[in-house]
Amino acid sequence: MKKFTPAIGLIHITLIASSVIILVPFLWMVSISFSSYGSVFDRFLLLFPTEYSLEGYRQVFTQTPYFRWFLNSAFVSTVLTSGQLILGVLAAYAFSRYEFKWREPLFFFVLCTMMIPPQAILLPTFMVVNFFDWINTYKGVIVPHLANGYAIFVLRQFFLTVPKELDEASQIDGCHAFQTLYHVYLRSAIPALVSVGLIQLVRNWNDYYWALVVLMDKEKLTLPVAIVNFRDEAMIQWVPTMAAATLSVIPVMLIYIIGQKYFVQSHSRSGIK
Amino acid sequence: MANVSLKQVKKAYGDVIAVEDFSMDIKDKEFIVFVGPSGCGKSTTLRMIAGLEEISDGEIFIEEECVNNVAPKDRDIAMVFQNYALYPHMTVFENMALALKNKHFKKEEIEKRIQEASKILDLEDLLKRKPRELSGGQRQRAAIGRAIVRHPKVFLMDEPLSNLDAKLRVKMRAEIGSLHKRLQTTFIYVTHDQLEAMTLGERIVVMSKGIIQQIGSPEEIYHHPKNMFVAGFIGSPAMNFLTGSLEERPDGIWLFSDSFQLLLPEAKGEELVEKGYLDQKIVCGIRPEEFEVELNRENPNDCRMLEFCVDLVENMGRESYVYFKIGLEEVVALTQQRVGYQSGQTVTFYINMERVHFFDPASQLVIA
Repeated sequence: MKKFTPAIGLIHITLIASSVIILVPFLWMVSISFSSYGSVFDRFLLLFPTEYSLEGYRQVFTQTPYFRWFLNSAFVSTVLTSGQLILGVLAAYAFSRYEFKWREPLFFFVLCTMMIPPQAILLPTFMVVNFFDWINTYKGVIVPHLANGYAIFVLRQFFLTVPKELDEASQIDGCHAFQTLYHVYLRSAIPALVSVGLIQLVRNWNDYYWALVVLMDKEKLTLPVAIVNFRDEAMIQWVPTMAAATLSVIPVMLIYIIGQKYFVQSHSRSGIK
Repeated sequence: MANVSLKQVKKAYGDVIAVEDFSMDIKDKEFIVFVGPSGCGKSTTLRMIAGLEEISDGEIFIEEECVNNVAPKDRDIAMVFQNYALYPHMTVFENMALALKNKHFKKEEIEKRIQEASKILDLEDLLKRKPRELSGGQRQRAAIGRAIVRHPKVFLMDEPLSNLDAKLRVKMRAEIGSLHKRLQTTFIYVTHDQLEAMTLGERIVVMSKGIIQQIGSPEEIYHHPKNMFVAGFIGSPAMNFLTGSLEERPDGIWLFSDSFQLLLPEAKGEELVEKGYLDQKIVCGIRPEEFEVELNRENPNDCRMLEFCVDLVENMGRESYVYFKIGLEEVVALTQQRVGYQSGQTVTFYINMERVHFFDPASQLVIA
């Protein structure tokens, strides 16, 4: 065992403190979702309900098209993530293995898309989507975000670690470009693909801004946008809002639990051979 | 089976020239070795034959067909890489089968060929394993197996043994040699190891700085090097070079310097004088094994005696390397005898002058 030193103690205190900061709002949300309407403000920082009730969940399921929203979110995030992976793989393959004019400036451009906050290009993107008449459609939500700088960057870095000889061996073995991509790159990049896929899936599942801007009809909304719907003119209905939020977290948690192994694998691999 | 011709092949990366004016004809079923220090262009040349590297100028022919614009897969070649380059997610069988599948061979034919190859290479028990479950030698055999199932016209091997340990390298070297005899196919083999080149090659191409220095049989390269580079590169320990001036004395032509004097054999002396090297500086190259501790009684007239102070003796068991200095030059002699010399001891060596090479110090070419 490692000796306990002040440095290790400090690290532990920092970790515990940051865990508390992350966990408290989460527990608060869960606790409110199981509380009765009247007991929400019994105490500041209600970490455990004072009066248990499933009224919030009942209201979510009976008074809103919750399953429809859930399906909307599932549809948008899986299609978008798949698209991001496909385009990411193809772009990363080209950036890592093909020599072409303007390759470096183009890759820099891809990196730039990661550095600019999405809000900064919200308006121009909206105008383009509007030009194609895609407002209030899933096309409008999905297409502008198909090319994803993060996916391209991570996959390119991974592909660069694949020995070039494997690529050449496959050329001599008569593989065409897509066969080489499959046999040499994709099959060794599965941890990276899963990791990028899961991170993007969670991001896309939680996307709020863009869906809020594009989608109008109540039936078409995705969960993050829809959850805000429990607010009427006068006040926010905290219990059903938190119940809906708690429900929307479940798939994300499941994804993390399933994908944990791959996250660790791909991150430990990215540094060493 | 095919002959391969390279005609004034050149490869340049921007301003850097990797291979210059490479021309040679490789005969059908020949075992050719490209040898040279790293960066000499040998691998680049091999990769150009494979089609993995575009050529900047010149032409490459495989069986009379110009393949400059033919994709690697259509050249009917097979290549074995230094790091094996086996597909990590496929079993040995799948690795060997991929090229055949891509060529749409029937399943039975694929299996037959793989069985054949695995019998030759002793891979039969390993077919279901993945590359990471194999040792270095087994991986190398699997990589060779992947090449031979295709029955290619030409085998290209890029330093296939350099990742193996010394003992295994000797074993695999012999296996590659017998594989060539068995397959009766053209082999082009790249190595930086002159010993591999000498033992495997029917002809050796010695390269340096992108230029062919000499093409010839191992004996030719060893005994008749064309220049100082070839003389120094081939052979281990390397040839000793001594610089001296040529001088005519009443008893013949002498090569002398501040630290040694050697009387040249009559014919060689006359040849050098004829070429105008009298009173000029020339370099003489003496292989370590041309130093004898005991006088060779059969040919005493051509042996010259030198006395030196021993710096170091390395006893290899069967033979010994004796290091000493002639002037400022470090010289090594190889003796078959078990010698018990001490550092600082003065020893008399005899040199077989008939076997000494002479070079022009400016052009570095052999002159006698």
